[in-house]
Amino acid sequence: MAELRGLGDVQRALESAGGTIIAIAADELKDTKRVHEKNKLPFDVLCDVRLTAIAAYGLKHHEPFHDMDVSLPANILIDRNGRIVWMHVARRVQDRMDPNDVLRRVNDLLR
Amino acid sequence: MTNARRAAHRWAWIGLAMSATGGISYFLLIGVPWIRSEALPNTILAVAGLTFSLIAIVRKRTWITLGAGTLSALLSVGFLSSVFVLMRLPADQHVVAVGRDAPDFALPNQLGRTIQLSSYKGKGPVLLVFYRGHW
Repeated sequence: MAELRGLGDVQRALESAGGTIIAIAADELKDTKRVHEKNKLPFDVLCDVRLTAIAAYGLKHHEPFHDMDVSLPANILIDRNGRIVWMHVARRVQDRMDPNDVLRRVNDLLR
Repeated sequence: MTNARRAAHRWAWIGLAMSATGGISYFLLIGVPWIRSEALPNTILAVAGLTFSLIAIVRKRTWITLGAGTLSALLSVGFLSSVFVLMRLPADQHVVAVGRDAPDFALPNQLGRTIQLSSYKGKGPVLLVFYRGHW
């Protein structure tokens, strides 16, 4: 969940335009709560334990080591009309977007 | 010890040091996004370390060049295969794409309150960050 930290500037940019970041994982509610508190996140973290949103975005991944369904790490930027304008899905476990690159994408959209 | 032998040993130790640095530094610097995702300096070190070790063995076959070479190969190959092969993820299921409407959903947030994506429609842009959770 390291990707959730360092998104403060992105959240500020989105908020100034009336939007927000929404984080989503297949965690239980108590884990969602723990992640939110531990990282002092300035945006909502949603609990998708039944993988409904994760499946709706085609990001379901059966994780063989723990034998459980999780989400592929992904960033999806949606404009104010509800249209997807940019998306990035990790191809390796360690792939994470640099928050500065995410901020650039957001600023491109807001311009 | 002959000079050629000493030179070969030098290549062997440098090779081992490079392989070890390449692998270990990756895990030490995992908090740096571009290192974590690209692992470029670590990959260069691992490959260079392996090359140095091989040069050492070609120059002189001794217990030191062979031993350091084996260790260097284990470290480099272990590092490269874990970063580039074992950690690979499958592609997404191509349900959504750029230009299409984002599927709506309503899910509980950290406080148990329901958040609906479409409540932002007409108000502002949203960045969805899907993460794996559990660790």
